[in-house]
Amino acid sequence: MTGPSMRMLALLTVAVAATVAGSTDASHAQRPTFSSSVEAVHVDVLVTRGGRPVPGLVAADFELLDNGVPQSVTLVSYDRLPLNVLMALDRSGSVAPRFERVRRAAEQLLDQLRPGDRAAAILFNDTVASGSALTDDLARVRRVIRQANPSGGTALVDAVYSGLVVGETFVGRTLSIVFTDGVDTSSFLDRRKVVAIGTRTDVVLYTVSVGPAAERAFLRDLVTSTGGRVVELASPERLGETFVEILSEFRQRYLLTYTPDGVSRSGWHPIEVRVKQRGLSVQARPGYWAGSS
Amino acid sequence: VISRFPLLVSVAVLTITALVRGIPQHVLPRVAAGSIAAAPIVAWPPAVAGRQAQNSPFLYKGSDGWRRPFAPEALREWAAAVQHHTPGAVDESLRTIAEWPYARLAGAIADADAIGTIVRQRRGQPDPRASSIRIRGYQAALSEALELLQLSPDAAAALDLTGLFKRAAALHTDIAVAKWTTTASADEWTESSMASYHLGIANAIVDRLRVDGHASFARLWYRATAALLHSRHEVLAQPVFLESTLAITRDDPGVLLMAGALRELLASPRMEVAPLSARSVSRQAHLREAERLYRRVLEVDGGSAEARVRLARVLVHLDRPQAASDLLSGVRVEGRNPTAYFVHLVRGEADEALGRLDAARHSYLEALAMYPNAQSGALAVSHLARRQGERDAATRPIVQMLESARSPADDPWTGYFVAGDGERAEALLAALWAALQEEGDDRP
Repeated sequence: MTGPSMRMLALLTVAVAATVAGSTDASHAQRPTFSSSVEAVHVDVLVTRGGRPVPGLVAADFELLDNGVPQSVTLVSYDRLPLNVLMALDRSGSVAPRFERVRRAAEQLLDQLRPGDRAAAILFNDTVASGSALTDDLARVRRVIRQANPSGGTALVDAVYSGLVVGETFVGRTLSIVFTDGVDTSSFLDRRKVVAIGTRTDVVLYTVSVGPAAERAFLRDLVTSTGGRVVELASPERLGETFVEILSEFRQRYLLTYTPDGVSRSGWHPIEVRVKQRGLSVQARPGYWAGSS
Repeated sequence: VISRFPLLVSVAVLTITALVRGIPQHVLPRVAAGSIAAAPIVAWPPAVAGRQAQNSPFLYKGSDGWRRPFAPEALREWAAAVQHHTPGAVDESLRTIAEWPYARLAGAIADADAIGTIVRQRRGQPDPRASSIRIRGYQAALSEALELLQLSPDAAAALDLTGLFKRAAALHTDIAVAKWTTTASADEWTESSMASYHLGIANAIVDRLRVDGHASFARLWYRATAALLHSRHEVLAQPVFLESTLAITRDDPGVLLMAGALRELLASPRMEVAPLSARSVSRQAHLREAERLYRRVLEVDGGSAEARVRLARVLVHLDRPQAASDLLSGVRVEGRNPTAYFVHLVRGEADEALGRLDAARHSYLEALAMYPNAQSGALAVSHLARRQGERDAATRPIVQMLESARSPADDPWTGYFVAGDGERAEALLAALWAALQEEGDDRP
């Protein structure tokens, strides 16, 4: 199984069942093993008008082209699905003056999670570490964040990669928020390799920085590949508010799912998502890879 | 950026300071350019004339007339600190001079330099700055100057400033080291700038000594200082400084390895966000230069496993993985050490680039087995598995990595860009100061 060859029909079945039943049990399901030759692709879509998410759309409002070929899509709203929320927080020495605000912002975000949601905090400087895997024990995540002290260099690229991998460990939708304001000084992995992995994962990644991000090109390529967004704040005062807004925005995204029809099964699949109503903006990943590289 | 490139910042700050204060820019140490030896040091007190000029033992020539020595009392205090400083120690002398503001320090150094020129004239040695100094009478000027410098009777009689200047180089180098190793504080920026300035002073003094026939001391100083800059990843100052050091040390393998590792660093992705001046040469050009330097090491020392594995990594990044693989095929891995770790890791990278993914995975796992807490090994294993679409195999090492208690020291990758002499910068400095101590004590 490869990344954005996606989670196939079983995930869709689980997701739809969870939505219909209003249950959170779906997130506790074991990762399904797929043997079917029919693969389903799901595409995370943000629809906005004037920068605000637009609710209430149905499948018929969307058009999706895979390799230029129109596809028949079904739609799931995330609003009632449990989420995996992964925060990758820069704790390098350069962040020290504002780390307390980062800590509070992370806790504000945890305050907004619902029963059944999972969270994890990856804290990085020269090393990338996390006190726990994705867990619904949010108190444990809080402890990890509170115990962190800023120092050392910045292994941003390695941390982002680790977040993408960890984000795939559970069934359910995963939001990854990366906070950084520094230059990568110590990563092992190559930026291009990590961006390439971004095209193979279902994790949606947002990045937040105070001021222009030092690693802007890398972060832009990364969020583009995952369908997320780069947020650059003028000052750290709005960090907490921003984390919460991102979570809220993520909950209001749509999940389009389809079984590719009339296109080759492997390789890069450019996709284009449109909304029939005028005046709406659509944000989605530009494509996905099927098969191993 | 400031913490990464303090030498550049230092020079910029000093330049701005100079312009604001009207100080001639050419008196500033040109550490970043690595050519401080050629920088004339003159002074900038007000121009004088008439009786005042006659009362001064010597005068400097400035753009607007002749000037008196800048600060004899500062020179006296500086000389006392130099004479009392123990090389390599953080003592009272070091702390005193380290606290001096820039202007006071610059004045004392300018005066000391002028006295050096006077002495050279007296000894019949050529000095390019001779015409910039007017002396009232050699004997009177010398007596006054040597009194200020507090030389021993023998040194004064022989007009020998060598011991004084060697100890001055030690003092200013030690101040630079002390300022750099000071823990982060609100003054880090200023401290770092002044550290660069002190190193510039030491550099100027050493180059003067080298011209005067003390090549051995200069060689040791350059080698130790290059190692110091290298261990601190001073990417802007290093290239030119290492060029000088390579010329002086005649292709010493320890210096060649540093120069190669610097080129690898300059070619690394982390430099993509560095100031433009650090990226003026293309990534490929840096890699080709690293290849040349490592091949030179192997010419000098064919048994250097470190040079071989570094060269192999460079070849992988130059898209010549087969050459890298061939180069490593003859390398035997013995024991647990960073070089052995990188043999596995780079062999894996070469195999991965050649599409031999099972062999690559085997090599990465060997590396990880050698250093189980190494982040780079875990990432290499995971990324290869993820590339192949094996999510579980990709996840396991990452989860293990995230949940283990580690420090950067657990991962050889942390120190990869410090090579050769850079790994023993402090030991080299200590050896330099020990050699200086052994030369004998000519202090008063």
